[in-house]
Amino acid sequence: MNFNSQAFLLFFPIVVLVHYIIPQKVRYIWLLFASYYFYMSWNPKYAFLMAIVTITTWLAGNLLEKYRSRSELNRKIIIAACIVFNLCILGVFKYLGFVIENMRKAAYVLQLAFSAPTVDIILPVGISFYTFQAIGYVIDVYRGDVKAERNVLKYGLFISFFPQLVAGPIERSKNLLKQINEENDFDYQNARNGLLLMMWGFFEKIAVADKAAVIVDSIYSNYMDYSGSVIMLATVLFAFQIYCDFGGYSHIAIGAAKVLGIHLSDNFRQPYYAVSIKDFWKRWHISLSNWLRDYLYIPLGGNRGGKLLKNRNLLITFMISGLWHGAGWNYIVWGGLHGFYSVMSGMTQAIRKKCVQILRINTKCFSWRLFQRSITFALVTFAWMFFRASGMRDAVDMLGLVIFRFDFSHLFRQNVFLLSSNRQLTAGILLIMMVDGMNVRGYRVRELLDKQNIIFRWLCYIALLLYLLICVLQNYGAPASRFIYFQF
Amino acid sequence: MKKFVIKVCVFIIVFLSIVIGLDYLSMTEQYRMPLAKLTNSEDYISVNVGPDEIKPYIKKAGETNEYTQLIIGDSVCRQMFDGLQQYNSEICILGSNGSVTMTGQYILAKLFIESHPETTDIWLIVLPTALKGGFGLRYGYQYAVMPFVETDTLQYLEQDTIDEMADIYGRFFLRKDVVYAIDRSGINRKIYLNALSKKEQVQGAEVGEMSVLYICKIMELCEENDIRLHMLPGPVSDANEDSEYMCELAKEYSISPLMEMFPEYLNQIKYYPAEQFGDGLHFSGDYANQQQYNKKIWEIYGESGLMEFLRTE
Repeated sequence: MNFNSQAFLLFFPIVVLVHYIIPQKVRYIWLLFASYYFYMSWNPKYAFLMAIVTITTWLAGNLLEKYRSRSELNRKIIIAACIVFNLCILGVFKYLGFVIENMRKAAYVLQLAFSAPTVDIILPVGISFYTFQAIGYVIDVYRGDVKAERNVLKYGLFISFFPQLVAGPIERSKNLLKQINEENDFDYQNARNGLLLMMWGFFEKIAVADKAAVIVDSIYSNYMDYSGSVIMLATVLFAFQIYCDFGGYSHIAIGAAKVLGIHLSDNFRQPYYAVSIKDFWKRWHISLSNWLRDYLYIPLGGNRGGKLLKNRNLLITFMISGLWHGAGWNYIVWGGLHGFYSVMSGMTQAIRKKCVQILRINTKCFSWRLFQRSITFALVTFAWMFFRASGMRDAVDMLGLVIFRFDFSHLFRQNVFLLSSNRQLTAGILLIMMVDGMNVRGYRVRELLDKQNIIFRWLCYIALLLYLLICVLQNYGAPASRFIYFQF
Repeated sequence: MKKFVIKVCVFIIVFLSIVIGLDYLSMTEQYRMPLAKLTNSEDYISVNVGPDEIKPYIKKAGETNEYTQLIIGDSVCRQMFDGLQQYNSEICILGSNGSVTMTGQYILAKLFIESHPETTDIWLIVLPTALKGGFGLRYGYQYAVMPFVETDTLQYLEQDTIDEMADIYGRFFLRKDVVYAIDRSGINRKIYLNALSKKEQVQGAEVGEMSVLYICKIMELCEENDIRLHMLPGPVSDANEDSEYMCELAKEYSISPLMEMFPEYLNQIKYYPAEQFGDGLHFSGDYANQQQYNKKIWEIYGESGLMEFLRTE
């Protein structure tokens, strides 16, 4: 089930109403049932896979708890077996085809005999998200950061909680599991704020991401017909598409959970206002960045062990982040580029500081911030080209076009600006950047609205909903677009 | 919670009232097109499709004048014969669209006969595909249900046929006020037709019961009024000549009651090179002009008796 489907419009109010009508004690059972229904409406068979991940990690957590003060070796065996088992599941469903394909290519180059069946497995929606969430829990229990959950149904809900099941945020047991165990009463402000957040998420998805997707898809699928400048424009649009798509999903997820009385972690914090790559990763897909930091980068050694090891750890972490997103070299290169940016940023930090001192630049002034943000945005957008391309070959071809066939006049000649949805899209992007800009400066639109009278507030809500309705009607009949991160 | 639910309900009521108001405006002459443009649904109402295409034929069939013969048929019939109306004062040419199905041809024939008691011949010129019958999901509603309901001619059909329409399109959508709302508003038409197209419908090559029923009913009407009914085929692309579809259709036809009524129908089919057809059904390019049509009309219908009455210049 998609958040932007008609079925969800019926599903969500029913879940909320029943959730608050039934006694507190059984609410988690109802939410578990609703979450599995939500997942199974996409593909019932793959719910078993999620159940297997749930049961194995739940068992591992309880065994780790049992052996806490007895045998460290047993605990190490248990956690290793659990992580390997779950990563194998993820590997088979997500990476097996990629591995076999690359082995086949390598064998061809080396002129070795290699035969393996072609793997054609449907990627289970959200597998990367719930697997990481489950592994994170087991590591937390191993480290003693949280106690193992005894109730398998509550733990099942932690893994499958429908708002964040298929595209995050990747929750920590300290946050979500704790709330599942607590009683929560209906809270008017929570419910209201949750609904407003959902509305904003829908706006990001329908009014910006889906409209940008029309242009981006048409250019990326026929990129040879366009000049480098048009490809660059499409990539900039993709930067906003993926932000509004994933940010929209996260807002809907956080809002839906809020209505149910559960607070999910923030996943985005105005990422395109970041002043450096490091800052960007504190603002973009925060739950994944934190997960990778805590369960991969720090265990690898983190900042300890000198600059060389730190840079190695950064590169490994970012490349695994890329691989987490998709089984393709272009994703690895995307991650590697961000790793490279981070390494370079660290290596040039002293020189940059010195330059700033010599040139007596006021680092707090608007123009310097704008410069930093523009550079960061340009670097991030450049990397998006690899992320969005259908494969490494396409990405390299497009890069060639950007470098060798950058004809600015094409931008106007090829009617890109004449596409009917452009004015609405531009307005949508500007609105989102404006709201983000206000948030950066500490002005919350919701709080500003709260200070207005009910008529003005309702007029704003109605105007936004009507605009959403118009966007839906404009695209009505076309297949409903999925959220980009569903495929991860 | 109670306060929240009440507020949400009031908000939904206010919002829905505004939406209904806007929907009403989308049916008014002044706001029809601006709202259609705003929602990218102008294609649904700006071109002459569906009821706007069929209603003039229904109106023309019911007008009293000097015509004594009638040509009815699908869009290929319309393509070939429409230009000849100006040369023929005694033959009413009403080639319309295959999507009206045989029910539409029956309605046209019935209205014509009622307003033209002197009728001597009716020529039903349809492609073999028209025989499979049944109401298509997308076009059936626009070409059959909407014009029939709006012209109050749905009543001429059998109750079983109306029930079949209700099964496919929903009985609610056969109501005159609802059809009007869908006809007038591009938004409503877009929503309803897209919802319809999501339903699955499988159509085979069989000669449809409904087609047979309404051809028989046209025949009955003709016999009651001492009129000769001729059923002739339209030109077919040679890409279909030995196709599985045509073989199956021929087999089905041979065991249907139509075989007894029009034994020569399938033998009269003339095949033309596929490149002459733009979409596999209609002539296009250099082959889409009256001179070419006249040549083909003589080739196909020269021996049918039609050319004794029909003037091509």
